[in-house]
Amino acid sequence: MTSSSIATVRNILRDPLPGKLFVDTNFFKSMIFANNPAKESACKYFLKRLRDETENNPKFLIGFNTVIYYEMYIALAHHQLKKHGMSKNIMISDPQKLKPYIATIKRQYDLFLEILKGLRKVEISLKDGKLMEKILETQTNYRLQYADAFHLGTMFFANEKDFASFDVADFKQIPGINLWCAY
Amino acid sequence: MQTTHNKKHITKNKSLNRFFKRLNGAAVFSEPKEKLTDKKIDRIFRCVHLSSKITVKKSTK
Repeated sequence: MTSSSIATVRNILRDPLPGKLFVDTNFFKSMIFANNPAKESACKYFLKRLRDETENNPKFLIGFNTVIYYEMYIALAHHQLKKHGMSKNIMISDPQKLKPYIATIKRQYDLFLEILKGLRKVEISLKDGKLMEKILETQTNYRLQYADAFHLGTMFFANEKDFASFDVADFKQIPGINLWCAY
Repeated sequence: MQTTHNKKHITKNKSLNRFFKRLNGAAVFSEPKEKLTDKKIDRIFRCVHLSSKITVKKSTK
């Protein structure tokens, strides 16, 4: 594989940030679920960097597909089930078991919204059929899972190339993009 | 409301203008509504991790 056929990996904690950064849901999931001090401290530092860039550069914004809200809801619900020793399939087979955790899920979701409130952002939804087409092209061209294709396809739709994700393995084979990660 | 927001931005910034034109109405732009202070960030992490770590602690004992 030549260098032009893989993504350019950039360090989100050190390298100068681009004007527009498209983000994967896992950045926000990691902030909520960071389960070791190193990851937690990296997430906190990254969030402060985004905050500082937002304040100092009026052109800086983060972009994402609105599917991020749905993915956070699913991730928070799954997390509660897992935490209480249940399979995530309970969401479908016996959703009543989630009832005791509604308040916790809501509280964690509010914290996610609080993070977003502090950032300049562009939220892209599936109001345009061309976006759906771009997502499907992305999924089929690069053999991605549909959730990954949603985020990356949205960035391609916006004609941008800076994508932030903690899942380097999933995206490093994508040519022409700048893959922003924490390591 | 959001459209007004976009229009306001469009008049100020040519590159963002082109960016939004490309997105063809599928995008909603918003400026930060509240400042993310260090104190608030610490509180967010403390709150989420207090509830997230319970299982981790139990499982390691």
